[in-house]
Amino acid sequence: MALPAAGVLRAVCAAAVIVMCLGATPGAFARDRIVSVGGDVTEIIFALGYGDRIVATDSTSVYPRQALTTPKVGYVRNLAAEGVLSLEPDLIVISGAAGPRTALEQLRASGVPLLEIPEAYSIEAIVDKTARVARALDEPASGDALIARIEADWADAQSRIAQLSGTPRALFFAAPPDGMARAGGTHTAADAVIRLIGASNVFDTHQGYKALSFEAAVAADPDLILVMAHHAERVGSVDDVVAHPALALTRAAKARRVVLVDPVTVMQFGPRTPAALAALAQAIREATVAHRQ
Amino acid sequence: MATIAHRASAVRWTRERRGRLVLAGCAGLAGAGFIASLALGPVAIGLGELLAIAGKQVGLGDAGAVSPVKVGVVEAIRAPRALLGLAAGAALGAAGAAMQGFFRNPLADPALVGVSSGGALAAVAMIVLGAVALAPLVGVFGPFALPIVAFLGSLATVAAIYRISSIDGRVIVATMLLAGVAANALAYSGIGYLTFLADDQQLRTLAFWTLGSVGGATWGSALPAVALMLIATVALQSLARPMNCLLLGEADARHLGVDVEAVKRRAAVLTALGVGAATAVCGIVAFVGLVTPHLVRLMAGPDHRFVLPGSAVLGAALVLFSDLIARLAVQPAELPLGVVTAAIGAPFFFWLLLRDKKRGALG
Repeated sequence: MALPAAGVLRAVCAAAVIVMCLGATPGAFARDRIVSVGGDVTEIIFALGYGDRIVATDSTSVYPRQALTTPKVGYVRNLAAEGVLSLEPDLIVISGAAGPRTALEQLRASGVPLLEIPEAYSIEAIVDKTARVARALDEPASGDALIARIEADWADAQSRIAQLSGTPRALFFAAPPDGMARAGGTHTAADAVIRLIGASNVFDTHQGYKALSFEAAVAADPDLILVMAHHAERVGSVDDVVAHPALALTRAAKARRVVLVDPVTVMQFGPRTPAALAALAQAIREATVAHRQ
Repeated sequence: MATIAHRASAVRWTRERRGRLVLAGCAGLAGAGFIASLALGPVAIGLGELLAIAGKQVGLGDAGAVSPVKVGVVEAIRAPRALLGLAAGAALGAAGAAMQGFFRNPLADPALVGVSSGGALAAVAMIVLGAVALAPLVGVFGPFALPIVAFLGSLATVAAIYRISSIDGRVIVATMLLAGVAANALAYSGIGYLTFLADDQQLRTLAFWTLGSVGGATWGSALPAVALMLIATVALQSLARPMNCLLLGEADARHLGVDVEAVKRRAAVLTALGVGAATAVCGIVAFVGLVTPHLVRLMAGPDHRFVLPGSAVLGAALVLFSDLIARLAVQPAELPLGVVTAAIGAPFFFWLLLRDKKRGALG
């Protein structure tokens, strides 16, 4: 009789302590109505099991599928503060990519808890984003589990990347190059992807995504061409690049080392990016091997 | 003789009364627009709550019953936004009326002839190059630097357009519009080049420029520009009488004792000040300066004593109601304000062209 009673008492005490801690923790707030801005941030919140608390997302939040059915507060860089507040959020989680600056100022002034997740293009940044969101949601355990998975995926990706020979000189097109081509220069997610797969960026003379003449692309003569595109929608892109009258002159096109890069999984630097980088390294390797055969 | 004089004074009296009525109506509309801008938005706020928040501001009672988020929405988002919409609409309306007055043709509009894009180019240059080339300006003028730079851009454009399109003080309409096309093209090419130079952070600030918005108004960013816009709007009113004389032609205006050159200079400077300041904080909001003076003239006649103030208050109403559409149409997201004003203004412009074509007024 005494033993179970003591057990119950201990459980009640523990529960009380937890409740008190929750109430007393500075920054602990309700998390029942979350507005999530930024595809990476939304993915993390869903991965931590809080997807059903999300009442609205931005237009870059396209994964998982449920994120598409939420109300949309507009494009991540062009938010309207009042629209965000009209969803009566008790927590706004916002990517560092968000803007305009004035809308962010208005949101900060609104008094609604606002969690701003800095944007950076690295594996460490993905881990940092995850840790920050997990802390705000008070989910350290599932946060640690997700971080462990991200790091395991990255270790796997690194072993695949190590199998790629040499340091390919890569050119990254921000869209399938028809008519005009925009390439990724320094300080872009494209540049980070190139470096993470152990390649070097031939367009490192410019900052940001800039128009690149096909002639300059031929002159740069990359070993590897990456094209940002949805695999499902742009099946013909690799052939388009290989058959392009100018790009066909590059070593990459001759060797058919042209690989499509998914803008969501790879470029958003969310929890799925390490696995997507592994798949990208695999695709590059297969393209290389296929050519040799 | 007596009856003619009597009839003339009666006509003047009814015109006068009509003008006052139109002014009062437009002012009422602007007032309604201002209150609606405070009351309506994606966040539902009741009139009682709005009154409680307003009461707190003037020290009557407290807004304790109203949720702090709603108080924040009204105080930090809607109030500066409504004030900016009011001032920008008034400045653009009055500037449109003044431009049509001193160009003496009804198709002059600050955005159409490149005054807005000239200001926008200067403002964009300020943002992209501001850290290096224009740092001394920021040091001297502080928060006024951006609207002042935009004002200089607008002033340069308005002066150039006038020089190009006038012969002996007479403006050739087609040349003015074509010069405007060229000025816009030049300004947009400059904006395009600066956008190319801009880094990622600056791009985020530039994105809204060409379509205009008052949604990002904060007290700190809006107030300096609002002050300049209101100064320009009020100062333009003093040009009503000389502009009435100018309607008769420059020679006749001179005979009536008007210093024509001084009036034109003042009109150009004040127009550029109002438009430049508006563009610096709202981006390019087109067609307000074209539509409102026409509507006022249709209702109240061509007397600038009514056209100038009428265009200011009607411009304010137009921008405030357009902004309401912008924030309510696709909530919780938002449309750019320039999309709404252009959707209203561009068809109006077509209608003006068709009307003038029928009259044979466009040579």
